[in-house]
Amino acid sequence: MTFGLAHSMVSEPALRFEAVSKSYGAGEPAVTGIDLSVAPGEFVVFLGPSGCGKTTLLSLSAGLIKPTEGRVLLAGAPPVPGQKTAMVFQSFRLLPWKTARDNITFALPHLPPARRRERADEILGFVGLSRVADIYPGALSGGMKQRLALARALAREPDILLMDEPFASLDAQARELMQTELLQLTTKRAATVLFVTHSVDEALLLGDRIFLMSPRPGRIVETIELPFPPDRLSEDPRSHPEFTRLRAHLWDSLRDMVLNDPGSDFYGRGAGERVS
Amino acid sequence: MTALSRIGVLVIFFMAWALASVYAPRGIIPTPEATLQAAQRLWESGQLWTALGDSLTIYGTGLGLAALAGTVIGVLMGAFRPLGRALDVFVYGLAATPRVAFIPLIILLLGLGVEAKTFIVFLGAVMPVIINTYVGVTNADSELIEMARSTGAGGMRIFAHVILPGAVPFLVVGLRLAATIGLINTVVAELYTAVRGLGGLLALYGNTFRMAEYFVIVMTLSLIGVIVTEALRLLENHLVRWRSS
Ligand SMILES: Nc1ncnc2c1ncn2[C@@H]1O[C@H](COP(=O)(O)OP(=O)(O)OP(=O)(O)O)[C@@H](O)[C@H]1O
Ligand SMILES: [Mg+2]
Repeated sequence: MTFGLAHSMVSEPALRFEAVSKSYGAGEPAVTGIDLSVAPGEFVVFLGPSGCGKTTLLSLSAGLIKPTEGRVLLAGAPPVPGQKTAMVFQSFRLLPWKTARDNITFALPHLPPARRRERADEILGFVGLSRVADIYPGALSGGMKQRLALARALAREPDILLMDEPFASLDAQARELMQTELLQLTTKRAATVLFVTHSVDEALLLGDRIFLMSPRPGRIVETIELPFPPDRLSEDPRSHPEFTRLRAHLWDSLRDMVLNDPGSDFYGRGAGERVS
Repeated sequence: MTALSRIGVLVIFFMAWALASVYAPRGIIPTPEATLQAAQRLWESGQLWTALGDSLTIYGTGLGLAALAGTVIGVLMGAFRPLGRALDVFVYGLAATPRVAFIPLIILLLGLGVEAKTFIVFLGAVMPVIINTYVGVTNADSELIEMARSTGAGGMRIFAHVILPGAVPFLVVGLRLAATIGLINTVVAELYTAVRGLGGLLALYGNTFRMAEYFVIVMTLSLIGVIVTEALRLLENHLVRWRSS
């Protein structure tokens, strides 16, 4: 993995947004003025309140939607769906008529048929779903569905992994386990990760860099380089004094966004008091 | 449990029938025994057998063709939106027109024989298959399609793995409606064209007030209905097994 400022020194970024805006219809754009570049192997986190355009940024990176203005470049070229990227969607988006295993093999059309099944079984083992390989998604718990959706993306071994709140419906233990596994995996495979979350702690724990976003219109308001050591697995950054400081800072920023944005569902609520 | 309660319903039905046959004015409701004897007579004379063969041939052919053509037309209308939008109003309109209205026209075109009868069955059964398949294809889950696109899937792959399987539950509902309408139309066709088959016997015994024989025919038709709907239910349970789990 690349850390600190190294990403700005790499010549060809894995992903680049140049003055990108996206509007879904008339009216205010969903995201606007997005300029960013992500180095190969970097783990970046998009953090922001609901509706600030996090999913939109991932869909743009996957090539599922086109920017209204500006350019999105993946290793120098516009993204093509299914090439270089794999996406873990916020809603699981499993095919209900395919078993857990077949949901994964469906995402592997580029492999020879015999290899697909092998690969699916490997990855099912990795996310702890071997026992339910032949079960339909309808009979899986929310957490299992989420792990299956995660497995489907991982199985593709993409250069860039796009993850939209992939751990939101896991219980605390499973989440911590999957976070560790993800860090291990990305260290081993040096994949670039774009990770969306609502959780400040998750952002601080996983990211090399955090893009703090604000809604209406969706934009990046702050970029934070995280100073924690690369070997997060052996040395828990939560004991780091910077962790506490950044945590408080991010909480305050998010809280202000939600309370001071007239378009927010919680506008003006509890002005001035602390929630802690 | 279900089997037991169903048998219970049957027992109550036969008791009510027996009572009704005793208390109703003579000649309207035959006793169960008389009906059984009539069934035996019809069976031994070969009359019931021939009629059953005639009717099932028409019903099976008409329904089979309707299932095939209805699925293809419904899928085409759903897959090519401009085609679907151009046609759907007319399909709905045609489906709402009582099919009996077309019978004189069909007789003029196809005569009074098997072709005309089969076509009347087909015409009734094909509509619900077209409409349900069409709705199933157009209601495809856009989030799942986007997911498939994100794996690099093209139009054909999306169609085969996402849109078509998603339409199957709708298609099965269409088939069940088609089976019911098809059976009704079989009898209607046999009454309006050359009088043959179970519909023919129904007319014969109904008009001559031979109620025991008449009852045998009515119950044979019900039995066909029960068998076909149950078979389709089993097919549905198999095709949509991912849902029940
Ligand atoms: N397909 C769409 N059509 C129209 N508007 C959309 C569409 N997708 C998103 N939007 C709008 O764009 C804005 C950003 O949406 P987006 O889903 O990217 O937000 P998000 O940050 O992912 O939110 P959340 O945290 O709730 O998932 C929202 O105002 C949303 O209403
Ligand atoms: Mg989102």
